[in-house]
Amino acid sequence: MQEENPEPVGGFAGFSFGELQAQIGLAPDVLASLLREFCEDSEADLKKAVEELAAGNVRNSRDLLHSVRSAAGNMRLSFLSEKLKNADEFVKKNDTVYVKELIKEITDILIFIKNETIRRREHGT
Amino acid sequence: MGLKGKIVSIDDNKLNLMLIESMLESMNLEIRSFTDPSHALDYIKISHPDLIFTDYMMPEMDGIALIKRVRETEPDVPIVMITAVDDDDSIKLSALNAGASDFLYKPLKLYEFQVRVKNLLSLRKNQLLLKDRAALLQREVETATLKIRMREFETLTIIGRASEYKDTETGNHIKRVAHYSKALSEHIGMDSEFTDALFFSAPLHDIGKLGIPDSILLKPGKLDEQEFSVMKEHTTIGYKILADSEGKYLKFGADIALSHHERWDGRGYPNRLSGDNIPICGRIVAVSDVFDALLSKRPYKQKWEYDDARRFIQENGGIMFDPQLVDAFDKLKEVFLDIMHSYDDADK
Ligand SMILES: [Fe+2]
Ligand SMILES: [Fe+2]
Repeated sequence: MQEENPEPVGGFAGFSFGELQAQIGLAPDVLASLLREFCEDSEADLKKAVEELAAGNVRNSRDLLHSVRSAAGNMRLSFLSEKLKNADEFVKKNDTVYVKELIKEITDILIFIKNETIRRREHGT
Repeated sequence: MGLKGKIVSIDDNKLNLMLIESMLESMNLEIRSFTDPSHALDYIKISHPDLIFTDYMMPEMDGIALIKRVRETEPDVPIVMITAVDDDDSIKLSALNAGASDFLYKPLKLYEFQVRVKNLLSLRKNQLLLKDRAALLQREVETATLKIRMREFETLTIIGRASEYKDTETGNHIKRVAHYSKALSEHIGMDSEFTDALFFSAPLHDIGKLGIPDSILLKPGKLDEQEFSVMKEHTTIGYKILADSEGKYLKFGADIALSHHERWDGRGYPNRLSGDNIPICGRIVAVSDVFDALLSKRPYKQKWEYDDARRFIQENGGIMFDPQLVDAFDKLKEVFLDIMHSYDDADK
C-alpha cells in the first residue's frame, strides 16, 4: 500500500511527528530512527508480554510492559504510557482477555506511528 | 562544549539508552550504554567513568541497588537517577541515601539534559583537579619533611664529627653504639619511629665531653674523685647543648646524653634515677656504650677480652642494666658480633 497518503491504521489522531520533534528538540532524522526503533522493539516486547501472561509469568509480563511504558514516556508518547499503565493494572488483575485487547490497541498505534514516520521521511515534510 | 568525559548509561529499555545517546551526540562524549546493570558494574569498575545515568526501575537490579554497588568502588563520580515524575518521594530519598547525586525526570528535555550533563561534567572535572592538587600537596609536604630530616641528620653528623676532635673515642665507637642500640630497640619491640630516632641520636651521647677539660678527658690512668665528678658533668653539659633544639633527633639526643650513665639500681649519675624511671633510650645506650667501651682501649684502661665483656653485661642485668635489655643482648649475640666486625677500629 504505497499511495500518496496511506490511511493511518485505526485513524489515530493523537500523534504528530512535527509537534513531537518540536517538543523533544532532536534533529528530525535522529527522532525518526528512534521512533522506528521504538515501535519495532515495543511491538516485539508487547507480543512477548502477551505470551508471558498466557504462560502465567505475570512478573515477566509486567517487566516488559513497564519497559515499554518507560520508553513511551521518554518519547513523550503519553497516550501510549496511559494505555500501558492501564494494561499493567489488568495484568495485575489477571484479566488476560482485556489485556490482550488493550495490547492489540497499543500495537495498532505503534504501527500507525511507524507508518507516519516512514511516510514523513519519504515525503520529506 | 569543550568538556570531555566518559559516560555510562543504564536502562533496561534499549530505546531509552538510544534516546540518551542521541541527546549527547552533539557533545562529543564517550558514552557506553548497558541494559544489564551487572555488565555496567563490571565496566564501571575498570573504566572509572565521569558520569553515570541510571534508570530506577529495572527487572534484575533497581537503580538504588545499582547506585549502592557503584559507590563501593567509585565514591565521587556523579550519578544521576532518571525517574518518572510520578515516582514516590521515598524512592528519591532512598536514592539520595544510596549516593545519587542528582535526578532527572522523564520525559527528558534535550536542552535541560545537555545543560545538566555539562554542569555535572564540570563538577567532575573540578573534583579530579582537587584530588590531584591534594595529592601534589601531600607529595610536596613529604619531600619537605624528608629534606628537614636530612638537614637535621646532617647537623647531627657535623656535631658528632666536631666532638670526635676532643674525644679519645673513635668515630667507629659511635657508629657501633648506634647500631647496637638499634638492634636492641628492635628486639624489644620499639616501633620504627623510635628506633630511627635512637639510631640517629645515639652518636650524640657523649657530646658533653666537649665541655670537659683535656687534662681530665685525656688523663692516662684512673681519675681521682674530684676529676671524676667533673667528668660526670658531660651528661648535663650534653643535655644543655641539645635540649633547646626543635629538631626531633636533637631533642632525643638530649635525653640520651642526660641518661646514658644512669644505672638500673639507682646508683648511676647525674640524677640517680632507677629502673623504669630512666628513659628507655638511655637504658639502651647504656648497654651498647658500656659493652663497646669495654672492648676498646682507653687512656685509663686496656681492651677487655670479648667473652669477659659479654659476661660483664650479663652479670649486671638488674644491677647496672635493664634486665629485659640484657636478655635482648644475650639473644643478639650474632648481630652484635656482625656489627663489631663491620665497624672494626682497623686503624687503631
Ligand atoms: Fe658517656
Ligand atoms: Fe660512649
